[in-house]
Amino acid sequence: MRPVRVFYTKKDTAKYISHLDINRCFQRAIRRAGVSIWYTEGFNPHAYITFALPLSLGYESECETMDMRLLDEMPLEEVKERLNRALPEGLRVYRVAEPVEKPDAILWADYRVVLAAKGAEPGQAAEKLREYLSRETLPVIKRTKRGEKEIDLRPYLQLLEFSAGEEETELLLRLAAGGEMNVNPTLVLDSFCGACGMELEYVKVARTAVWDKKGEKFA
Amino acid sequence: MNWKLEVEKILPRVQKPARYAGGELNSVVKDPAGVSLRFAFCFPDLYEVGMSHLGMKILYAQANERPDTWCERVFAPDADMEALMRERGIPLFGLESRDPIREFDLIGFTLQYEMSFTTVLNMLDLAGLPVRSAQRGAAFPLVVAGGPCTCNPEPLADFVDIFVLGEGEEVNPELYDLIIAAKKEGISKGELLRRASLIQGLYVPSLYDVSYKEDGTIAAVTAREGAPARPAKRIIRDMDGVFYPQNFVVPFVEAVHDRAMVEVLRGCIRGCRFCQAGFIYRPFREKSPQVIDRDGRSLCETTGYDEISLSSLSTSDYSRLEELLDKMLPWSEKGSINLSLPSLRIDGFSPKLLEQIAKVRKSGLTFAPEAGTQRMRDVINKNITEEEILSTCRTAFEGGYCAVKLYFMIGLPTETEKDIEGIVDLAQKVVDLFYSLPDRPRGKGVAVTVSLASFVPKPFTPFQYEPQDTEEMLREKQHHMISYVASKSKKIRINYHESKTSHLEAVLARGDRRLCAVVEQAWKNGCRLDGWSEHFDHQRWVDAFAACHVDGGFYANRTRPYDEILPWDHLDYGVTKSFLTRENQKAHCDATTPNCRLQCSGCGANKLLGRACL
Repeated sequence: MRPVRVFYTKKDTAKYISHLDINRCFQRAIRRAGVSIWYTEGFNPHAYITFALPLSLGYESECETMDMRLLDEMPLEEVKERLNRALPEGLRVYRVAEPVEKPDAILWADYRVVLAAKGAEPGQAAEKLREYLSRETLPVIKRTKRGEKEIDLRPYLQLLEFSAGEEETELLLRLAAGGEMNVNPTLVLDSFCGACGMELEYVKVARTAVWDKKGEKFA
Repeated sequence: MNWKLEVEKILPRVQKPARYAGGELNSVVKDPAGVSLRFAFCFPDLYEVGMSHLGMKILYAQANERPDTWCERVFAPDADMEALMRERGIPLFGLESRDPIREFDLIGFTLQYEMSFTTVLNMLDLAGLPVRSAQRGAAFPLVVAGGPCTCNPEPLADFVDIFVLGEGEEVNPELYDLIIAAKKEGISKGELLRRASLIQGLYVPSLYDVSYKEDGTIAAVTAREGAPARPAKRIIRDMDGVFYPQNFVVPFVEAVHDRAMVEVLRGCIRGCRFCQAGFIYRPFREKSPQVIDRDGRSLCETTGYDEISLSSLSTSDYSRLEELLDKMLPWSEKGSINLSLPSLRIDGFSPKLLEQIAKVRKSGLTFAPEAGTQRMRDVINKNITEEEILSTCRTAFEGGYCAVKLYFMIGLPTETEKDIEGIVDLAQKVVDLFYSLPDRPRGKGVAVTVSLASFVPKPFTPFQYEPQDTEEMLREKQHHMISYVASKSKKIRINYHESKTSHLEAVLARGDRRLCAVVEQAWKNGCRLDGWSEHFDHQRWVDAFAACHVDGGFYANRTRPYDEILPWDHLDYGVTKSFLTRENQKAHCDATTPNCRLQCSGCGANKLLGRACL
């Protein structure tokens, strides 16, 4: 039994596959691919696969990972090719490798966000957003399993890039990720809308990188 | 307006957006410039329901096998999606291309249940088309409908251009050819409909005039412009040669039935007198084990499903079931694929069969005795005895099962209080049986669930003449049963169905063209997705009947004489009216009819086959 980490992108219509559904989707793809992996034992055996960092419904990603345990000896390049032949459009495996670290090593994730505000003058939303993201404190209500609590987003949020176009504003956000504190771009945008009285016409989000505690890409 | 961009903007705002996004594995995308026919296959219910439907999978794959045709799937949007589509003026689109279906050549609905009728209208409206056929002047898109409800399509006659009678695999290709030719020639809608009416299996309602007597019953149905007096359904004669998909579209969101399915047989030998499927899908035809096994294997390989069901009206009536299971069990077991056998009849369990089933799955067992007393079961021709029910339950309990679900109907013709109590008594006997067995599963109690449906008289059944109990009568019977069971046992749970929808089903199932106005009014009142209790609003229907001055009781609660012209009498579904009348008379004498294997009862369906069925 050989643990492997599958790195894949999730784009286009595949972004509408929820986290629960992506699990089932990969289980079926693995079956179709003829890659034999370890199954859980017990009443209702199922393929054992895990995902390091759940991705919200509607987000694209350039850097998802799925872990599984190979039963048969198979070159990792072949695993990649077989999976790609079996996966639906929008899901593409770009690397299969031995996992280097555990998912709890994850500390940050980067998101490219493109948004357009409803009924706003050109540039107005961008200005407000830049002002909001540079505030010294960013209090938000975060829902957790234990209920709602107020936190300050400031230590968990960095604005890496910002560009304002005629209608769309594009930004690159680095947000806390992983088990201890996970901040979702939607939380940031919702609190911005609430604080500045804005409404978004649409928003597109793509996860572009996942970083570990040493400041290196999660591997 | 760029619709595709607009759709992208609203998808993040709706529940389960994958239902509208397309892009599923095995969905078919073609170049629109390279095809002559664009077909929107519409299922008038939510994605999760429609994607469970085998017929749609078959016809989708068959149409797309043709290089000249592109068939796309369309489902009813849920309330949140519909609101956003209407707010932004986004017309109903095909899942594969996201192109508006009003630009397609053919829009086809499948009518699986009466409660989907208002959704058909709503989908036409969302597409940006007039709901009434007469107001759609252009030949295209042509609106057609098929499925079991087309055996009496009269309540939708004003909205649908052509109804497909019988099996789509047989008649659809001719319809596609006709449309492609009509497009080339540029003929009018009238001429197209006239030509369609000459193809067996197509029924063009606008070419038939219906007149009524003073008492409200039908005086005559008259064909015009050369249309046949009795349009007849089409069937597949050779089940082994019929098209069957080698892959299914695999949904991302979980469908109600999310698994591979193979079709084992069509039709039914049983002749239960309440069951429409048992008559309209006649004659009985089986596939051979080799074909079923091949299709099943291929489907599992191309979909990655870990479950496959052997689908039919009564899979235990398949004459070669053990042979089939012997073929399928080795590879399904090896691939950790669950084999499921729905629709097993209570008398169809042999110990070997039970052992084969128990190998794969040990969940609850369901049986449908349908009625509680032997007399009542004889009336409905459910030819099983109490001993058979109990001996099957015994085998099941000894095999480790301890939950049994029993399906019954109330409101059956000639039913008395004794028959109602008989349901509970039978369930109690199943409970007692469990505790009497020395070999029963240890440490577990028994759970017997009684699922009660209200009887709905349907066209093309021996009970097509019967009145349905009124809502009050049904409610009284339900209450009587609840209080009777309370005095008996805590091991029996009763589930029952809302009698308001049963009444509407009875009206629509046996309705005539005067109901078109009611269906339209109900839709205008806001009805859609009526099969969902969270969407169903009975008052909207009550208001619609009142506004149209139509009395639902005339259709649901009236005994119809044998010589009355019924709204569907001019359609030929194989089984003859004289057979149905004979069966009705036998029902009133508590007399049973043997199944088709034991003796042919001369129902008439074998003329479609051109030979004896068995």
